[in-house]
Amino acid sequence: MGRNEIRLRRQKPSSGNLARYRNYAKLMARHERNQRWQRTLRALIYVVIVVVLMILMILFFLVKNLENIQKNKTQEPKNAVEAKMPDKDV
Amino acid sequence: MTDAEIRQEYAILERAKKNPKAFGELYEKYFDRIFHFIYRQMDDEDVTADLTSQTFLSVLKNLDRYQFRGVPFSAWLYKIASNEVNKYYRKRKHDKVFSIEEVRVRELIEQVNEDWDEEIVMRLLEYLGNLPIEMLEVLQLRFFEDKDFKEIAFILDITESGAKMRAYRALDRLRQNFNLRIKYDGKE
Repeated sequence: MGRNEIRLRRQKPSSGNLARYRNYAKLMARHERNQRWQRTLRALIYVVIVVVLMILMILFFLVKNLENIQKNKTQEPKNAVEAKMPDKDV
Repeated sequence: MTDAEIRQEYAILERAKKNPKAFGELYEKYFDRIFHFIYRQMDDEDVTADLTSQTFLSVLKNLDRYQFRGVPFSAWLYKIASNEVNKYYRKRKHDKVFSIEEVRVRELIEQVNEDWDEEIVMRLLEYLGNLPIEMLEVLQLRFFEDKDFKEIAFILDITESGAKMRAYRALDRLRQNFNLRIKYDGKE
């Protein structure tokens, strides 16, 4: 048994027979459909990237903001000025 | 193929880059050749029709990337068709089929002055079946598609000397097995 299968054919498919498959208009339609689909996919990928970047930025600023708030809260008692109550009533 | 024809095809391709409809002329010119090339490696008309369409679709998709590299446009077309065939076999994971026309085999045998004989044909088919796939590809392009070694090297992504080596080795084995006198590049 050979590594490849070799078959012997009586003849090639005729040109008339091939004409059934030769259709440039159909090929162009398929090409345009593919192009449209590719453009949509590309646009979708860009949108997803932009949305993900925006979410990351929002998260970054949110975390930064929370950190600042937290920092301010912990620093408050140290910086707080002690106010003395007057001895006498005015 | 003459230089003028190569230049003319290149001009069509340049036009097709802007307007894909211009590619129709080359589609009509090469459809049958590419169909036969794929059919020889498939032996199934419907699958061949699909792969031929896929080949031309890939060409249209990658038209912007096409650059002239010293070989006719058809070599690029054959390269894409060959890749489509390989992709098909990789997916299906079964042995490659080579289906050759009796008429063409008869012509080849008659070229080397041998009488047409069923037994010789059967032995030839057995011999071809046992050849490594790389050699078969080179033989197919050389004797069934009439490609020169520069084009064969481009299509199969190998060096020109590599393509020659594969063809010479295959033919040497053929000479030994069949005691044939094969004229090749003017030498016997």
